[in-house]
Amino acid sequence: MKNKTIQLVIHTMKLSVYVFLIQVLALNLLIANDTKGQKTISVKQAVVSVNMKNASLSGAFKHLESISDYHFNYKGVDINKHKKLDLKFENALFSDVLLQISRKYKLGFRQLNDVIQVVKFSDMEDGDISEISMADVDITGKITDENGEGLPGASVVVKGTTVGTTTDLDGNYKVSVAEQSILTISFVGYKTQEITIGNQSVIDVQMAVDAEQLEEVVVIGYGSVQKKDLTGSVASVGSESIERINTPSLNDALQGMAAGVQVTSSTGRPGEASSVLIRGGSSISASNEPLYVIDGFPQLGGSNLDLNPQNIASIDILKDASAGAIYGARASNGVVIITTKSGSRGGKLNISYTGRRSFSSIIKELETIDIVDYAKIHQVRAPLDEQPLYANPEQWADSTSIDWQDEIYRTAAMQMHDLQITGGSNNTKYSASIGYLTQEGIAIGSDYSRLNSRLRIETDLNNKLIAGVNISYATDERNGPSLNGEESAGVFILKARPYIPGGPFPGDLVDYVDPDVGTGQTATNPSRWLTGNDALRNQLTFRTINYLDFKPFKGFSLRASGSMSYNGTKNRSYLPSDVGIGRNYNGIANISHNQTTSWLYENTAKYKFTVSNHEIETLIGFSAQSTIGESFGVKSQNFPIENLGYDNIGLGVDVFNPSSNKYKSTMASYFGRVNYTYRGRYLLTASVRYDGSSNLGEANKWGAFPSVALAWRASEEHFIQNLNVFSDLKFRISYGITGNNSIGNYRSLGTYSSANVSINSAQVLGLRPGSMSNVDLKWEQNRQLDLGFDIGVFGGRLNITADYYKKKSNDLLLNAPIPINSGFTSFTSNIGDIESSGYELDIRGVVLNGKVKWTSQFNISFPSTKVLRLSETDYFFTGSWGHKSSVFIVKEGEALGSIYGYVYDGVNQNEDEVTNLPQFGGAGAVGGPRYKDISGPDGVPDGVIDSEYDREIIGNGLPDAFGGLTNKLEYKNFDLSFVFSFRYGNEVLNANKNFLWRPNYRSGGLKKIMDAWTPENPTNENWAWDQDGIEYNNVSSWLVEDGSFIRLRNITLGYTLPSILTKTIGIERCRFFVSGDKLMTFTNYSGYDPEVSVSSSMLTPGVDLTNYPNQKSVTLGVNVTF
Amino acid sequence: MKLKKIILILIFPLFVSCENYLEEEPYSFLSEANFPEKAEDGRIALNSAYSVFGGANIVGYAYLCYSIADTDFGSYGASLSNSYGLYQNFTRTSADGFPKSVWADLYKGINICNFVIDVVAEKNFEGGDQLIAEAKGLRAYFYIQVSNQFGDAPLRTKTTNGVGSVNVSRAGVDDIRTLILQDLNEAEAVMENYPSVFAVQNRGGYVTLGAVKMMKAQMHMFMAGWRRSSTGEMVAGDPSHWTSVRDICQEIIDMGIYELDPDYTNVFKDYYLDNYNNESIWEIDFSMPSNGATLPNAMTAPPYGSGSAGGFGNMRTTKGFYDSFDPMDTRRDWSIGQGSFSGYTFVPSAAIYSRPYINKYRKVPGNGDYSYRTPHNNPIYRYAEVHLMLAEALNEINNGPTAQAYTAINTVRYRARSSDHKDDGTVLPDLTGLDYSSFKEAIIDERAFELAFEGQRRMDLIRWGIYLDRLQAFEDDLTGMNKAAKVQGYHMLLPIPLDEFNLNPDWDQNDLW
Repeated sequence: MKNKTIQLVIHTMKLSVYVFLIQVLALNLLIANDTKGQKTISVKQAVVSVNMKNASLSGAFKHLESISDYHFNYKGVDINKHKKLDLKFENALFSDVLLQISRKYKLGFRQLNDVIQVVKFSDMEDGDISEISMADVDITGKITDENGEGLPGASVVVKGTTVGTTTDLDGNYKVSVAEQSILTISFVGYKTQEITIGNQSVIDVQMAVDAEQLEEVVVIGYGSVQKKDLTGSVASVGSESIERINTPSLNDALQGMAAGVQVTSSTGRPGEASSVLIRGGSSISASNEPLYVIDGFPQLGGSNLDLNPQNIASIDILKDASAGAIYGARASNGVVIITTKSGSRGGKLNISYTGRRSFSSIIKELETIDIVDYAKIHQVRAPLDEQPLYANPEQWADSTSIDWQDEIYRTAAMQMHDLQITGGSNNTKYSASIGYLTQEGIAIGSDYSRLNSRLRIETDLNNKLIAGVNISYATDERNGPSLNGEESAGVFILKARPYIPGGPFPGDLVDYVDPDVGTGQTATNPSRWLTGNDALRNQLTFRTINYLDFKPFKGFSLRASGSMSYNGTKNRSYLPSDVGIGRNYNGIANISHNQTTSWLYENTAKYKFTVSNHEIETLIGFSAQSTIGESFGVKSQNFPIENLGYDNIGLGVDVFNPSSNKYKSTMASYFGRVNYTYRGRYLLTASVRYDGSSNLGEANKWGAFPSVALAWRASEEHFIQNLNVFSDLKFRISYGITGNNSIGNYRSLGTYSSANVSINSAQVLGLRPGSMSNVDLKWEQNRQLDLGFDIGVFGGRLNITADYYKKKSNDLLLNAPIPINSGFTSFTSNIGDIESSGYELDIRGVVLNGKVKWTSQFNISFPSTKVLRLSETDYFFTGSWGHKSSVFIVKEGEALGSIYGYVYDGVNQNEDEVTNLPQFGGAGAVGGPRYKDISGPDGVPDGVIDSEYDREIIGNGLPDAFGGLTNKLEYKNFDLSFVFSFRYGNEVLNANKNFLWRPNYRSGGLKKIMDAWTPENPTNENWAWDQDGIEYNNVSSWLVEDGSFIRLRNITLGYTLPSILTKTIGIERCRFFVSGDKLMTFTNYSGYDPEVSVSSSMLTPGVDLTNYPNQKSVTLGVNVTF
Repeated sequence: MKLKKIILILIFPLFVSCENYLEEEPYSFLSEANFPEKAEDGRIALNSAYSVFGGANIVGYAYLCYSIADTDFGSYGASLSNSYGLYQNFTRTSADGFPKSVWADLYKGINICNFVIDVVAEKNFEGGDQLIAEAKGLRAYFYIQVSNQFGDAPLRTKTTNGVGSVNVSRAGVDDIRTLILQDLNEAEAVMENYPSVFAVQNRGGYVTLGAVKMMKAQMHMFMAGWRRSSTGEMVAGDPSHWTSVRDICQEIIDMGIYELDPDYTNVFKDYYLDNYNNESIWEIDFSMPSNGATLPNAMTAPPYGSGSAGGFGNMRTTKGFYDSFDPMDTRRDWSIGQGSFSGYTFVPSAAIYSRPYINKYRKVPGNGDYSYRTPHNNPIYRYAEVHLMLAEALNEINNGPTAQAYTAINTVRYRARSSDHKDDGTVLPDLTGLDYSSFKEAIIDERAFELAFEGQRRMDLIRWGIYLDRLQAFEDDLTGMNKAAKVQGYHMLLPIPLDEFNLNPDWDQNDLW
């Protein structure tokens, strides 16, 4: 088996090398004819000898072409004339030959370099003297962009001909043309201009940006295409949108910006990234994170730490299988292609600085009980002997209550500084950037800082070889504990009592002995917990990309490239003996270090050529990569001397066994793609990738991922153009297969895990079967169909893109639960299928284009998922919090993210209801909760509420729809933009209600507690206090809330100083801005924030368990360009 | 030429070391390819079977909490909101975490034993028969627990390997018991060939010949008594098993290697200090600080202060049980902590709480002072129980106590008397002149006094057929608990965990769960 695989690999390698060589040779031959030098001899000087009898006109042209260096261009001229022609010249001037033809056929000729343009003189009489006009005017000039910068590579062509040139690196051009010609000047992304030469000899043209943006270039895998030629579904976000985001996280820049891209920023903890989900999830247990490709290189593990949003030129998101399949086994969750800013050859030095200072605060505070409420609860809930302590609640009305949220959450400051240098010389371009940020968390005790830098240099070694490097380095540091979870500060803050007789007070930063009872129990002071819990994380990312481009002839390029990256994460924590469970162990210190080192080696060959109306671009390539991860950790506790903490972990008396781990994963891939365009109207893209991955079972290491896409640019058809309605009209269809190999390492192997045993007064090593092997483990496969169209109307001012997709993920890797009496809890195999589908709509419009410029963009997506098949059982449970497991269900026929539980049916109002209505576990109490009796063993309600028959799907954490609305306005030097993002139809499981709606006589809680059921307050919303022994931890619809929201994601107002003012002091541009993030959120959700999730898993979205709350912020900033 | 060179340069590196390029090489764990390779590896694999005890669901705090709560002398601790509290409250369901973790740990242990038995036999390691014997002894213990707690259950004798072997149906209790006795007999036969290895007082927590004999005796004792079947009937036992109980107890006594410690409290101090007392037939080892520590004292003893011997007091007993001891019985004040600790010194309190603390797993000086966890080893079989079993067997066989029966029970009572009252006849006087039922009553009481809070009581009540009577008569002084009203016959078995039940749709749940 093994040998067979190796043989296959070698065979394939050989084959692809042959293909590669043959392609290269063939291309060489094809091009060989095309190597004529430039001839500029005038027809009035060139000498020829011709002897033709009874020739056709076209035959004559062909013959003349064969004996001279000239080409005839007779586009638009009918030369199939019946008149036959005799030509007999001996060492005559070429112009004389043309003169004879001219007279006979009433044609004129103009020479433009080596091309002879044939023109009609329809009004000429036979025998009249015709005209041979000559290219006798040399025109020079400079083409500049909208900023007045030279535009290299712009095309300058005589209208109606193929004659012309392109601009050099500085945007200069020189062309010889006939007088009275019209020059057509074009460049991708700019409006094409036509200039009548007249008698000018110097023509400088400033180009204007094309509002239609049809010429926009979109980066796809291993290359880029013009947006108009795109066949797949790709969403692009430009640097303008990215720069506007005032947070350190790249993913935040995508929120609300692109259809089909769902970004969740679930936490306000500094240094935490938002999660990105493209077109819903396609996997149950493998990762649903998209593949990130940075400057052409797939990310090899590690973090996005070195990606400073300020340093990014564009983000292109490949959504459908056609666009993604070139990344094969890693593309099923979509691909996010990130292009960092670069300089340009011949570009001038450009220095840009952006500084920001923001102030953030908690997005919302929750109303908590005060001392009077506390006393009221105490009256009912405390044991009898303690009740006199707060005998008369109202007597406390004048006492100051502690609002712990005010104590903990603060207005936090952030600074971001970004410096960017770009530029280039004749044969080199470069860019360098450095960014620094410090950020306070909104909760005391937490902060974050980051430093990152990037250097890109590309230089021409000679006229055929280009070499480039792209190096980035970033470090960060995050301080402060997590607030997530049941036993964390997030809970302490809301549960801490609002009053501590005699102190200590929050600022005293000590935990306090509970003063109300004699048990001597210590209560957690949230302030102390947050400031005393020393948790530090440092990350370091270093990445280098090196490449060598070889361009032996036009249209052909070879690239050899290599990338290496290192990512290190170091976590340290110390929990002192007076904080949390540190008390129980007299101080606990932990240190762990993880690192991944990766390399990638990749070669590609590209050839692009045009044969009359056929444009063909081909790509083949192969790559190999390897990632090694290592980690170790140490822990000790019981610290007689505490002040050194984790910095001297050896001072802990009780030292735990150190741990270490190492893994390696490798991939090898072959890939190819053809883009074919016929007449600019019919577009075809076909690609295939063949990937081998070490993660998979012995029998299934390799997989092929083909795709094909077709597009029809109907707007190029005459009959559409004649309608004069559409500036763009394109229909797209694509189908392809992508994969997901993010299934972890060594999952296919049967392994033994260590189970050390204390026996015979010693610790001995034990090894037990840890997992069963599965040699058949293979990729998850994702088949996706995409149908879409792009419409541009009103002269390109309104553009609509719509897509429908349907994905079917097969062979989903499922760590499926198996009966635990097997000795194992789960078995990893490919046994699930899920289907997801959705509609996406993106509308962009230029609303106003006069003095006030107003552009607007709206997008919305309607994703849905459905589980088609699972393992032997048709469902399994997942997700847990506190003592509850089985919070979510994954079930055939149902959507992912389904919350599972009892249906809350109100409060038992009286004894009658307790006796006559079904009760949980068969017993209930007046004032206690009641659930709906859904079914029973016989399929009908049985009068008892039990876990087996009376739970159902009570919500879904994934939205029915989401999207965003962006508006940008410009007036004179002012600019204003605002971005809304919204989500609709998702539910949040507000697990906090369990802790915070239940009163306890020694803790605080939400004000909502005071609205509990009493005989006088017969509410059905919240049950009575004194319900000890009632199972109140049940997951029920009582906890489920609507999580829909509309949020003002960002609003920015900018003012650019008049350039007249700034240029005098050498500043090109200076813009001040004030910006607000998440200032307003419209939602019915009762917790901090509906955009919440304690886990990033697709299966368990939207659980609110005292997250680190989200923040809103106001930012002041300046951007200066020199 | 130049072009070719460049192409070669670009392509060449891929041919280097492409062999095995995609092979996975595990660095940090062992796989089937390299484990087990030798007899020592078999030992290491078998060690891991003992690790399931560390989960505290088969012994240890979780199991003790449950098994104490379900008796006529267990009452609730302060906190009912934690998971064990909920479980104690008879508001149990099959979806709870507790029965699932018991079930999971038992079968994890069984699978490891099966693995050792299979692989050692297959690879024919030297000394493999000893490993197999020990594995069978251990497997038998797990199956005793499985059949006692869950009734009908899967009977697995081969290691699970591959999806095909995952689902099996439930075997009847009788079939499981047959396997248990067969395993024990085979283990016993081998162990008797290696007296220097297995026929010693104890091997610091490993299964020994004595432990195997004890399991056998206990199995016969259960088979002689009542059990509740998975379909809900009370099944009477076969009294003829008492003969086996008697004979095996006699064999253990005749081994001559076990003896009662003159001081009852020493046995438990030794558990804490990791001294292997000659009274201990089998104990589960726990140690500090890092690995395998457990929490019995945290669950049971009076609340602690720094540097004191206490715990959390989450599981307690009743004043009635406290009062039923003879005040001079040394077992009372060691087992029940009516008072508080000043350091390691226990200061009895004047007032008697209605729910006194359990104090059997307290800390003692000499093995560190851990404020939270404890290295207290967990008793499974003590020699004292052999005497009580022998006494009970003789009473059953002869329909009344014999002289030997009196000797057996009085040996235990003698040791329990405080040293200054050994022979004055006022404290725990020797039993005499009892008929069958009064002797049985005495056994019922004596087992409570001697073995209180060691996890035996629940099964004792069931096999005597008095579980429901005793629990329904329980006087509960904690509002809202109402153990007596809530307990039902079906509580004699644990439910098959809901998740397990879901994955085996053709199974029937234990009756009424």
